[in-house]
Amino acid sequence: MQQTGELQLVGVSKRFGEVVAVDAVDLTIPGGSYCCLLGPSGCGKTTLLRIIAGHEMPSAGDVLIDGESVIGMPARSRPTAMMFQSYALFPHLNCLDNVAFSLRMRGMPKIRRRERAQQILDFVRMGGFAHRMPAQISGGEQQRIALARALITEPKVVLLDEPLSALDEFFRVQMRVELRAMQQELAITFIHVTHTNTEAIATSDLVVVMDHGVIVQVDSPIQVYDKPRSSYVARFVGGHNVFFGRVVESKKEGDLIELSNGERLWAPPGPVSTDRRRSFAVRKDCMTVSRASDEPAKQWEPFHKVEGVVHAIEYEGTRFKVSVILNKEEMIVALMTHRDFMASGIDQGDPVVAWWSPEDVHVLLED
Amino acid sequence: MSHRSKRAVPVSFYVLAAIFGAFVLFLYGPMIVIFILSFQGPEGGLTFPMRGVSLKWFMALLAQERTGDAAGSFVRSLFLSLAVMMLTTVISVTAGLGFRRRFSGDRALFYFVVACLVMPGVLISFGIGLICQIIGLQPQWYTTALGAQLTWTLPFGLFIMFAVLGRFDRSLEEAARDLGATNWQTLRHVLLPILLPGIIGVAMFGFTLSYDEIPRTMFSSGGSNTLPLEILALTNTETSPALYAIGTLTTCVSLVVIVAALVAIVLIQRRRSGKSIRRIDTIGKGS
Repeated sequence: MQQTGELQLVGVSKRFGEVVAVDAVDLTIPGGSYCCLLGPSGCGKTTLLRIIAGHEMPSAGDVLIDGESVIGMPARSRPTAMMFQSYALFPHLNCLDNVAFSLRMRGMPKIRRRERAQQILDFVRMGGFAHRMPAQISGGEQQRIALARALITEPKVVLLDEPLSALDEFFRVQMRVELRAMQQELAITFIHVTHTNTEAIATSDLVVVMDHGVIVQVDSPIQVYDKPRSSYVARFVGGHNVFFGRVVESKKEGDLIELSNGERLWAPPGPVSTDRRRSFAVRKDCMTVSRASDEPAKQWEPFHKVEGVVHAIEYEGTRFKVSVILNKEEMIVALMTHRDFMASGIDQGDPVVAWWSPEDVHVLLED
Repeated sequence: MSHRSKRAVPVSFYVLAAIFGAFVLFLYGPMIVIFILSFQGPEGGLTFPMRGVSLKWFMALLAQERTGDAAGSFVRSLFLSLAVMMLTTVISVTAGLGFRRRFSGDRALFYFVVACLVMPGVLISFGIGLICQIIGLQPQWYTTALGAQLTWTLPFGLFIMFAVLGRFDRSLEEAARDLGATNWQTLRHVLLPILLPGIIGVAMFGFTLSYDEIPRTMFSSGGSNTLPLEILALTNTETSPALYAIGTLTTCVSLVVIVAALVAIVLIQRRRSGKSIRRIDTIGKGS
C-alpha cells in the first residue's frame, strides 16, 4: 500500500523584496519518511517549512501533498501540523486544553475532546501534566505538549521548526530519539528543520542540505555524511577535510593536484574547473597522523599525505581530535582511535605527516 | 546586619528621600485632608478644627438642598465614563490590531492620532461649542462631550495597545491557524484572552481619563454639568463641607475602578502561572 503524506515541491520560490529566500526548489519527500532540512541560518529552510505549512505564500511554484496542490489553501485547512521553534503554547490554557484546542475549533464537545487530548498526552508521556499551565513546566515538557497539540489534528505531514534548539544537550539527544520513535510508530511524514548536522544525520531517512535558498544535496544520511557532493556540503556536514588545488598532471587513472603550499596530492578523475582547479575530500576519521621523524615510508602511498605541525590535541573520550596546521591558512583535522593515537606518540608542536589510503579519497562533484 | 548598619548613608540619600517625601505629601496630602474634612460635624466649617464627626454633608448631597445637582451630575459622569470606556476599548483594540500590518497612510494616521494628544483640550471643547452654535445644534454631554473626550482617551488607548501588542508573540496566532482556527476563532480564543490584561488596562484608562476630564467637557457638554464641572462650579458658590463629601465620594469611585482592574489583571496572570504557585515573583512570568 502506498504511504500517505507524500510531499512534492515543484519550482518553489520565495522572494522578500530583493532577497531570494527560496530559489526554485524541487523536492519529493516520500510518505511516511523522516526528512531533515539542514543548512545554516538564512539558507531558506524555515521559509520552505512555512510555505509548506501555509504561513507563507510562495512567489512561484507548487506544493503538493499526496498529489494534490495545497497552494491557495489556508494553513488551517492543510493536512499539515507545525511545531513552532518557541513551541507557541497558549499561555492562558492548561496543557490539556492546549492539546484539545484544534478539536474545540472544530466544535467537538468538551468531554470528548478532553478524552482524546488525554490520550495524546499519554502518547507523548505527559499524561500527568494535563492540568498544569505552560508557564509551570520545563522547556522539554513544553515541547512534548506542543507535539501532542500538533499530532491531535491527525496530520499527514508534521513540520518541526528547529525543535531541539531550545533544549540542553542531554534532552536534545534524548528527544531526537523519541521524535524518531514516534514518527515510526505513527508512520506519518516528519519534516524537521535544523542547522545541526549531527541532529539531521541521527534522526532522518532523508537529509536535504540547503544553501542560499537552493537545495545542494538530497540523500540518505549515510550518503550525505560519507559522500558529500560539494565542498560546501563536506564542510557543513563536517566529517571531511577538503583539499583544493590546481591540476598539474592529468592521467587516465587520476589527477595530480598541487595545493597552495606546494604539496602534490592524487585524486581519481573528477570534474575540473575551467582554470584547472579541483577539490576532493578525505574523512577525518580515515586520516592517520604520524611523526615525521618516524621511519614509515612503507605505509604512505606517494601523493596521499600532507606535512604539517600539530596545532592542538583534544581528547573526546572515544577518540582523539588532532588538528594539524599545513601552512598559514590551512588546517586539517584527524580523528584517531585511542589505540592509534597512543601508538603514534605525537604531541603538540610536533612536525607530523597526515596520511590516508587511496580508496578514502572522495571526489567532490561541485564546488 | 551589623556591618550594614554601620555603613555611612550618603548625603544624596537624604536629599532624594526629602524630594520623595515632598512628592508623596503633594500627592496624597490634599486628598487626605479633604477625606478627613468631609466628615466634619454639623456645626463645622470648611477648615480645621473638626467640630465633631458626622455624615451630614454626605446626606446633604443626596438631599440636593444646597449643593445643586451633585447626584445628577454624578450619574451623568458615570454613564459618560462608562460609554467612553467601552468605545475606547473597542476602538483601541481593533485599531491596535489593524496597525500591526502596514497599510497605505498608516504613518499619516498615526501622526494624526498623536496630534490629538498635543492639542490643548480647552481648544477642542471650545471649538466644538462654537461649531454647534454656528450650525444651531445643542451640545449635550452624551453626544458632543462624548466625542470630545474620545479625542483624548483614544490616543492613550492606542498607545497602550501598541505596548501590549509589541510583546505579543505572533507565532501564537500562527499556531492557532495551524490548528484549524478561523480568523474569528483566533481572535476570540487566542488573541483576546491573551491580551486581556492589557485590554483591562485600556478600559481603566478610558474610564478614569473621562471621569475627571474638565477642559474637553467644559464647552461641549451643553446645559447639564458632568461631575468635575459641577465640582468646579461648587468651589465658587458652595461654602460647606459638602464640597469635600463630593471629593471623597468621587475619589472612592476612581479607586474602586483602579483596584478592580488591578485585581483582575493579577488574577489572570496568577492563573496563567499556575494556580498552585503563590510566590509573588512568579506572577509576572505568566504572560
